[in-house]
Amino acid sequence: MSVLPQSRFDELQKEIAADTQPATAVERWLVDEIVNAKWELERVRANSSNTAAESRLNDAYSRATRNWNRARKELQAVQTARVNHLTKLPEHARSSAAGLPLADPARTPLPGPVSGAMTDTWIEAVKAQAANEMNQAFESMMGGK
Amino acid sequence: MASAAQAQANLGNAQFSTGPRSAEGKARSSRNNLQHGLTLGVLAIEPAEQAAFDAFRTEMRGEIRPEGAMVEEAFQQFLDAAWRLRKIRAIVREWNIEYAEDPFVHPETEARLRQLNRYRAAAEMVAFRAIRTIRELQTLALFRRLHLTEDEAVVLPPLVNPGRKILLGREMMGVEDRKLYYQITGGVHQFTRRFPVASGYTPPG
Repeated sequence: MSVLPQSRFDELQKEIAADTQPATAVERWLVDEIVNAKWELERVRANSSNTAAESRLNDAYSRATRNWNRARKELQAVQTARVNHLTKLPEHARSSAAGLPLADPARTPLPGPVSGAMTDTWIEAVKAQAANEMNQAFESMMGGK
Repeated sequence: MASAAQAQANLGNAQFSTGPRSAEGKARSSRNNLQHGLTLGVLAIEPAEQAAFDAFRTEMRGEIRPEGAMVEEAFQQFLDAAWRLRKIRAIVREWNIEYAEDPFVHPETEARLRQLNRYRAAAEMVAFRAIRTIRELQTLALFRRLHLTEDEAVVLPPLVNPGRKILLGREMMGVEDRKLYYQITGGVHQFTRRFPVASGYTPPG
């Protein structure tokens, strides 16, 4: 079986870039990984009738599928983080996140709007929790005797 | 066997062959034994590739913005591995042109391809792990910037993710709420009770 033409590689590059729309250098690097993995998978398939090279083709196939998946997963995470910078960050937090382009704001659960004012409900919750802990400690102490 | 006179002449001639003297010559000879420059830990960049590598590094640095020693190291690992992958692909591309058969199945490339694949597997692993590490470290840094009080930022080591420890019930507590919580419960140590405080430690402020 002959080598797949370079034009097929160029086609793949265009197709995958259109499908994934990379917008940053890291994303473009990851898309490049996906393209190369896909290119290898196609070459393995094109040579699959060559039984003499079965073991090499097997290795190449397993490596390419692993890399394809790894790159796809990472690209998804990086793109999700980029979008979350725009959609999940409140206005006041944007300057904090500016120097951390790969950070995913969705993985840093934000508290609700912080007013600085203590609500009665919240105080009651803290007191109730403290009282509950004391009661439990007392009961276990008494139960132990 | 060389005669005594020949041996003497050889010794004399050897004095004129002391290797390169200029910095450029020394740099060139240091690469004499370099076969492909793909061994992990030794990123050898050919002079002809230097400009492309610099452009790649600048572009990546501009976008990833590594800050601090940990992220910087992960960034270096990524750069190193990504560059290796690029070189490996260039080698395979040359084989594609050189041989009528795909290098995957060509008998002549079998041994070289096996060796190249070892380098490639290692480089791929390092590159992906480094990107993931940068993502995790930057996410953690963002969390700390958004949610830690100044006291907490001092008490909790930078790699600790305190996310779970500032939950009250199922609600995330805001920074101002936590300051208040510390006032009621007796200071930042309440928050850090899972991290034993060394004796003699003076809480900030």
